[in-house]
Formats: sequence, structure tokens, C-alpha cells
Amino acid sequence: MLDAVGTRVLRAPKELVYALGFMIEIVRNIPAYFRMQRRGGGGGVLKMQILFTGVNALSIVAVLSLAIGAVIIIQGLSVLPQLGQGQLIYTILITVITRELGPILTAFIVIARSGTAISTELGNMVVDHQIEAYMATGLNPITYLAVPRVLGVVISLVLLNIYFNFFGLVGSFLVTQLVQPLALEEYLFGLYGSVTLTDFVASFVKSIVFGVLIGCVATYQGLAVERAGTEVPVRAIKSVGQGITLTVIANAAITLVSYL
Amino acid sequence: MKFRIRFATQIVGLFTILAVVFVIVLMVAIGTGQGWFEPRYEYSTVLSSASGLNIGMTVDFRGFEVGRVTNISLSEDNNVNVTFNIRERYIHPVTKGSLVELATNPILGGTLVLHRGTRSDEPLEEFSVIPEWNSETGRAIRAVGIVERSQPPDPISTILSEIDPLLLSVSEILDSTQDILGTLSGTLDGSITDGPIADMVGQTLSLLAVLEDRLDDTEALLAGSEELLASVNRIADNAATASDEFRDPTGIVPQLLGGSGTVATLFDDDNMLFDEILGIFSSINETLDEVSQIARFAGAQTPQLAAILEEGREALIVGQDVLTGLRNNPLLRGGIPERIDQPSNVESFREAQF
Repeated sequence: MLDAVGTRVLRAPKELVYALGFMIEIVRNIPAYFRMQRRGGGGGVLKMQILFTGVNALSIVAVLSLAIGAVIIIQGLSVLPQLGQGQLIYTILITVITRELGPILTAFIVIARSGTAISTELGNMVVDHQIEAYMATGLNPITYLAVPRVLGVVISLVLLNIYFNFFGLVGSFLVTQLVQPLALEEYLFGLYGSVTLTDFVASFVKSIVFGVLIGCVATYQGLAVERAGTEVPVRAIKSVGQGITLTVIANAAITLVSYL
Repeated sequence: MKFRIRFATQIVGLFTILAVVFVIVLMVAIGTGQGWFEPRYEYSTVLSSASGLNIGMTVDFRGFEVGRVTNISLSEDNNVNVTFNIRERYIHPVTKGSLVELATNPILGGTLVLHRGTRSDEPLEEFSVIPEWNSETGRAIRAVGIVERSQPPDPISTILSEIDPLLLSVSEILDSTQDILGTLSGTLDGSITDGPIADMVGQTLSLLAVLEDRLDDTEALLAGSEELLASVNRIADNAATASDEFRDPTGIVPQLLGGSGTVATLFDDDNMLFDEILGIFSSINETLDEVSQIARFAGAQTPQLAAILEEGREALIVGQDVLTGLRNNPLLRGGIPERIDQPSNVESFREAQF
């Protein structure tokens, strides 16, 4: 047991350094990917990644944001005016939807849907020796396989976050009309008065950072499969766990920095 | 091929464009609403404390966000210099006499509330210093009444902002009371001779002197009334003598009915008796005039006369008792009947020794 614990402790820093190196390698290969794309190769991977990660997740993001936005407005309008703080509903809406839940919930959805998919796909490609085939034909698997997936996740996350805000702020207003009618002018005026550029910048930065983390973790875990097919689900699960953990830590760090 | 896969490029393009359009529309709307592209004018104020103040805090005027705090710094004289900007469309409330007030709220933070000056409609020059509501300058402006107060944006801030002036008023009242007491004390010990309180004390002293004079006059009047009472006593004595003369059988009546010095003789004396009676009447007339004067005086001295009369009445009652006793003498009748005292409702103003 002591042996196992010792091995893990000694291996953890090595894996961390390796993962950081992998992340740097991906960033370093982004220009190479665009050069390759200009030559007509690899564009389909990015497009398909955005389609699967972003477009296909739009329905669940829309439903989630609509429901959360409507609940915040309904609860806020029923409680806050009693305390003489009705105007606070817009600040809460912006803080919850735009700054916090937007980026992190879309990140969780992407981790659950696409993070596992990427890990599984790449893991199976390793098992099937497809990676070796790419290398044998002179294609860098990082440039050709990892970079478009990471970029796809980042772009999808940013776009999904925008849609989450749209459905959360605008769509939820329409839902609220069914329960507690509110004048559109009053709603928009309150929203404009509460939102700041910092809210959008913080949300945007979070989406990019989460996208990079999720993409890198998913591709790393996928490519970390060595030879057996049984390793694939294990790596997929690790991808989800590490993705959620890193996302939550990054969220806390960015929130902290944005309020400094 | 599946629709999504076949039109993947178009779908991703639409997905991206819609998101970008939404962001652009939202940014433009918020930017317009918050005046991101609007010119702003910079002003500053000086506060005693930066507690509850932060950069980016809103400047409110009647519930509208008219600007934001841009800088806070501690000056060398230990005051807090606050710089804030006002949006061009809301520059009109910033006029001469305008004040700002930090309305802090422990729950929601706070805001810098702008109060419009009413001296002029001309906007205040940029970079001017707008005094704080509770500063000395602010209080002077409020005293002149050239500022119009606008309420803080939320009820808690409103309550907190109401408490401050209340405490300030209490403090001012206490200061005024202390000043008045100091002035009064100084006036009474003679160290202060000017001012309304000193005048009031001087007037009170003059009144006391006048009152003393009036008391002297009253005393002299009382001395005169004693002489008057002596005259009344003499008249009463004369009346008693006359009454005795009438009762005496050897007195004036028999003499009148006698031979010499009879009534006929009296009437046959060349009007001497008539003239004498006329003289007596004129004397009586004069006496009546005097009595009338005495009565007028007595009217003014009613309480004393009432007391005298009361005593006279009591004396007459005793006399009556004596006469009744004589009439009912046990040797003659049945003695003096017992009398039930009827207390007078007029109190004596004199003491027993008087």
C-alpha cells in the first residue's frame, strides 16, 4: 500500500509536467493547424467539432438557461420587492446567468457530452493504431487531431455561453410573461442599468479558459490510452473528473481575479 | 447523408453568426443605455471618509444613474478626494449650489447622490469641486436654500440619510442651547452687556424699579385712607351725640316745646333760623360732597371698607343683643335669647390687632 501511495505521489508531478507540456504543444501547434487548413487539410475536424459540441448541445443549453433565468426572475420578483430591493433582480440575473452559471454550466454540459466523446474517440484511435498511421504518413496527430478538437471546444463553449445568456436573459423574460407580466422596457432598462463590460469580459474569459482546459484534458486523456480497449472508458471517466475539477478551480480563480 | 452533416458548414456558420449578432446588439444596446460612447464631464468632491465608497460607484440623481466615481484618493490634509464623471445628457442638474452626498447602505453598498443647485440653470464648469452635503460649505448652501434635495435610491439609504441630518439638528440645538446658557450666565454675572438677553434682563430690572415706585405710592395711599377713616369716626360720634340729645327728655325737644326758645320763637327770628338751617344744609351739602368723595375713595378701598362695615355690623348686632337683653331683663322679662351666629361671607382683611 505504501508502495502504491509512494508511486502515485512520485508520478503526479511527472504527469502534471507532462500535461502542461502537452498543453503547450497544442498551443504551439495552433499556427501549424491554420497553415494546414489553408492548404486544405484538417478544416473538417474543427467544423465537425463545433457542430457536435456547440450546435448539438444548443437545445439542452437553451432549456437549461430558460428554466434557470425564469426561476431567478420569478423568485426575485416575488421576494425582493417585499424588501424594497426589486431593482436588485437585474444584478442577480446578470451575476448568476452571465458571470457564473453561463460559463460553468455550459462547461459541464460540454464536459459531459464532448469531453467524454473526444477521449473515447482518440482512445479508440490509439487502440486501433490510427495515431501511428497518421505519424507514419507524416501528419502530426497533435496538429491534425488535438488542435482542432481543442479549438472546436473553445469556440463552441464561447458560442454556447452567448446562447446561454441570450436564452437566460431574453428568453426567460418571455417565460416570465406567462406567470408574472413585466413591461419589456422596464426589463431592458433594468438590465442595461445593471450589466457592466466587466461582466461580459469575465464571462468571455471564463469560456475561453474552460474550453482550453476541457479540450486539453479530453485530448490528453484520449491520447493517454496505451494499448487496451478497456483503458478507453477509464480515460473517459478521468477526463470528466479532471475536467470538472479544473473548471471549478479555474472558475473560482477567475472570479477572484475579476473582483480584485 | 444526414442533414446536419451535409450542411455542417452552413449550420456552424449560422450558429456563429447568430451568436455574434446577439453579442453586438447587446453591446450596442448596453453601451447606448450606459452612455459608453457619450462624452462625460469630470467633477470632484471632498469627503471626510471613504467608507462605503468605491471606484465605479454610481452617481444618482432622482433614481437615474447620471455618472460614476472614477477616482478616490487621500489628500495631504487627510480628506478624501473623490473624482466622478457626469454623462452629457444628465449635465443639467449639475449647477451652482449643487451638492453631493454619499448614501451608504450596509446591504447594497452605496451611491453618490447628486442634489441640484437652484441658484442658476447654467451647468457648472467641468473640473469644479461640488461640496459634500454635510460639509461646512454644504451646510451654508443648505442654509441659504439654493439646493434641492433628491432622495437616495433605496429605502435603507433613505433612512440612513435621514438619521444624519437629524443628529446634526440635535447637535445644532444642543450647541444653541449651550450658547444661550452661556450668554444668560454672562449676562447675569455682568460680563455680557450686549445682545437680546442682556436687553431683556435690563428691561426686567427697569420694571422692578417701576414696581417699587408703585408700591411706595400704594403705601402713601393707605396712609391717606387712615385720615379718611378718622373723619368717618368723628361723623359717627357726632351722630351718636345727636341721637343722645333726642333721647334725653330734658334735652333739646322740651326746650323746643317750652316758652322761651320755642319753635314759634325759632320761626320768628327774622329768618335767622332759616339762614342757620340753610347754612347747616349747605354744610351738610358740603359734608355730603365730602362723603361722596369718601364713598368714591371707599369704592376704591372696598375690601378695607367691607371689613370695617363687617366689623360695624358685628358691633350693631352686639348692640342689638344688649338692647334685647335689657328689654328681656330677667327682672322684667325672660333674659337674653340665645343667638345663632350667622357667619359673614366677607372675610376680614384686617388682623385682630388692626
